[in-house]
Amino acid sequence: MKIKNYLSIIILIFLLFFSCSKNTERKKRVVIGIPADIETLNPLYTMNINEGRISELIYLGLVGHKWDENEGNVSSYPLIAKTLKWNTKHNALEVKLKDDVVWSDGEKLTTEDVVFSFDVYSDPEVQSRFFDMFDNYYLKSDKQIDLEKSFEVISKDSLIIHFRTSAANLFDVDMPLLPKHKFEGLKRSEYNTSQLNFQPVGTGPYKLKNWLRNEKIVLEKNKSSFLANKEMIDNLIFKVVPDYNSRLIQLKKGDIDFTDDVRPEDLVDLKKSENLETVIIKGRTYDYIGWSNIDQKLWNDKKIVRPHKLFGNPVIRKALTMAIDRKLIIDEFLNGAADLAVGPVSPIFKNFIDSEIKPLPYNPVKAKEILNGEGWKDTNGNGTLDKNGNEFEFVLNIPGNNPRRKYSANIIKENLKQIGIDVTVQPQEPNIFFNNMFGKKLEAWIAGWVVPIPIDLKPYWHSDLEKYFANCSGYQNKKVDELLEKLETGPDEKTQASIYKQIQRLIHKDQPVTFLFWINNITAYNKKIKNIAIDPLGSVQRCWEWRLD
Amino acid sequence: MKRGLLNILIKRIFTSLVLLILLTVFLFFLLRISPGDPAQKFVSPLLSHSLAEKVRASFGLNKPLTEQFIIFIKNLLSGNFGISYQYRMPVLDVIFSFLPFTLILASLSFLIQTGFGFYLSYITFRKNGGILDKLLSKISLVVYSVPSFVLALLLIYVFSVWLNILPSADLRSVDFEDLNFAGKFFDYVLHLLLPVLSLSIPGVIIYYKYLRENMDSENGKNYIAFLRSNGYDENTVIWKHIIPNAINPVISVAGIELGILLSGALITEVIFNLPGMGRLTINAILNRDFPLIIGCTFVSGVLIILVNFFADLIKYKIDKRMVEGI
Repeated sequence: MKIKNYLSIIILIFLLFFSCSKNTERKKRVVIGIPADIETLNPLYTMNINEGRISELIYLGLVGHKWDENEGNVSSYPLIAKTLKWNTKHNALEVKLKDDVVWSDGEKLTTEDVVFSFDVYSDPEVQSRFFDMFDNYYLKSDKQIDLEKSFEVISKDSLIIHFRTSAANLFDVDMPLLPKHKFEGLKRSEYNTSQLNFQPVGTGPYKLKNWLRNEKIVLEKNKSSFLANKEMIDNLIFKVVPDYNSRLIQLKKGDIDFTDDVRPEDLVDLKKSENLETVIIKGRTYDYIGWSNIDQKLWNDKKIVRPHKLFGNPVIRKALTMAIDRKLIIDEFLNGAADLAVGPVSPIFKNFIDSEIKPLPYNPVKAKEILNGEGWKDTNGNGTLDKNGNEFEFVLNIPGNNPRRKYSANIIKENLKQIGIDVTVQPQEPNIFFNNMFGKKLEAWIAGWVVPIPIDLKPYWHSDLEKYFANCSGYQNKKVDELLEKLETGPDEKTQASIYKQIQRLIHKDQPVTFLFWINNITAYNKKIKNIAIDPLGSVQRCWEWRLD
Repeated sequence: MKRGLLNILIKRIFTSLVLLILLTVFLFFLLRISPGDPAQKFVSPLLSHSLAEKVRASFGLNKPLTEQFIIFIKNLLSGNFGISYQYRMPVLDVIFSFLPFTLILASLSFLIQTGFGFYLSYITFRKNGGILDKLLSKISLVVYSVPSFVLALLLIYVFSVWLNILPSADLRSVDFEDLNFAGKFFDYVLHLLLPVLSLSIPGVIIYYKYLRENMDSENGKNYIAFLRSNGYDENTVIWKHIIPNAINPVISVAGIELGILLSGALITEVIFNLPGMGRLTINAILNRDFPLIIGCTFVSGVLIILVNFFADLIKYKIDKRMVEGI
């Protein structure tokens, strides 16, 4: 009897196990590994890279952007717009919408949605990520776009956007559009927490099928989109795998098909896998050592600018750069997958980079000579340089969660010790670190910037320290300010290139920070995915053009 | 006696509530004085500086601390923990979407730990000096010394990478929705096997060691010798006398262990990429999501107090003299 019971249970288990076949026909799908879950799909609030790239597959703007490898710059093309036509003064843009653009709930997109979207993006009550970024529009006193002056609606599919200046360009109109009929019933102060953050209605090639928090976001083909086509991949699954090593294991096993931010040290191993393809592109992210050019305490207490006792002098900063073996960090930690940086313009911007500027050589002997020439000598024989009774010693702060910066800090400490500078490396919890960095409370630190597309240097290098808080080192140069302001007047590309080159030369001369390196982006994906274009704009961009073998 | 117990129960519930409120209030002030800014992610060169100010204001963090505290207490008393900064949802909704998994993982692991721990100690006690007894006494220290993350990585290597028969991470497969009911069930089972094992194996050894030592200790006492000399059969001696006396201290340990498991098995959740309370709490701390941190702490506090309370009740059931201790 007992044996009979056991047998029955075993048979039942087998039956259950073999009945686990899928209910539906297997669809074409690609699984993309991402390191963290996103917080929202609402383009009003998408902050990080993954939120942006997923949301932009659901919501489209009037224009799209493509990377032009030959020009080394971005070019725009009409997306929801059918035609875009500037007037002769370049301060009004006539927009005609495509006829076949419908929201994923079946409603047709009209110019009302366009006007509504810009109104919402600029509304202070909404707190969108684009708030206070519409300087080229006619604005009200609270920085919201003045709709009457800025938008002239001609019909349901045609309107003219009037700008305050002729410096406007297509980046001023590229915000993802929002469905007015879905948002208008809600209080604007509650958009932030509304269900629309989790139930998006867009016009893009994909729509949200399922979102399991901290697990995955499943997008499915939006058949009503004008970008949808038969060959495109049915489902894109963004799978959250926080641990980097687990992502690689899953990529090799075929559990995920695509991941980026691969570390250079794993490249050799990944290349051995027959089913994987790896792509390396020049990056637009650089690491740098920040030197506080100004006395941070005096600035924070009284908003007075006075040169920092150690780093206020450009000659000293130049000596510090020359004393640091930046190439060693690239070779040892990044396996050579980076380029020495000489300024804030990435080599990907081929027309804007000044290729005549060469990196300062690693020359500790020369660096020490420069410091001695500035009066920094080891007078008391304790191995550390001093001047007027002050020792050349400082704290180098790093975010505690970044092994690359930790490694760099140790090399820098050793390098500077050789020329008589005493460095204490202090890791800080990232939130505290960035709070201190933006608050100008650090005297030296290692951090990095991602250069935006289109390139924008003003927030990082303009002398107005109260407005441009990202100028964390407190760098001030009137000539650089003039050039940055000139760029905002909308000069032609040739003039722009000349201005960018002048800025780079001035910054290179002043060495407000020590530029370390531009880090290459490494993407790995399964060879079954075809027609992938990976460029500085992003790897998942235009994935409706991907195909499966 | 029962009335006395009821009074004690009411007293215990009251003190637990006071403890929870004190914990929450302490945390409220601790978070306000600790460094870091919840609006940090809005402080970016690519975003307007005034946006960060507006967001900070909408979090209510620009108000005086006393005003923030009054609002917090009012909300707390009405069961409103606020909106999570990170998830843009009410805190309790966020927690209740993560809690079921933690409850399942913790319960499964707890049952395995206590069940196997008890079984092994009983078997080895009955066959003292047998092969299993010798083997366990040798390997228990090794297994106990291995950190759970090492064990987890070892299990992943053997079963996921080398043998390739079990998934290395996640709670479900990516095509989980396409499976039928039985398929979904097996999918869960396959995904939970390694996390439950890596979480439970060290616990089994802890319970085994603890209970076995207590049983040996009880076995050496005079009253056991007296019972045996009076001709009581071995089963009665073990089940009625040795085990009840040996298990009592273990129940306290079990209460604490279950409380810890219910607060989230952080390392297991991170390694196996599981959506549990541990990861939720840590992410809330790293993101300075103040309402969510308080919510997670409160719920964990409630669970720990409840579990310990039930552990005390079980101890009372075994030993009626314990009532004062409760």
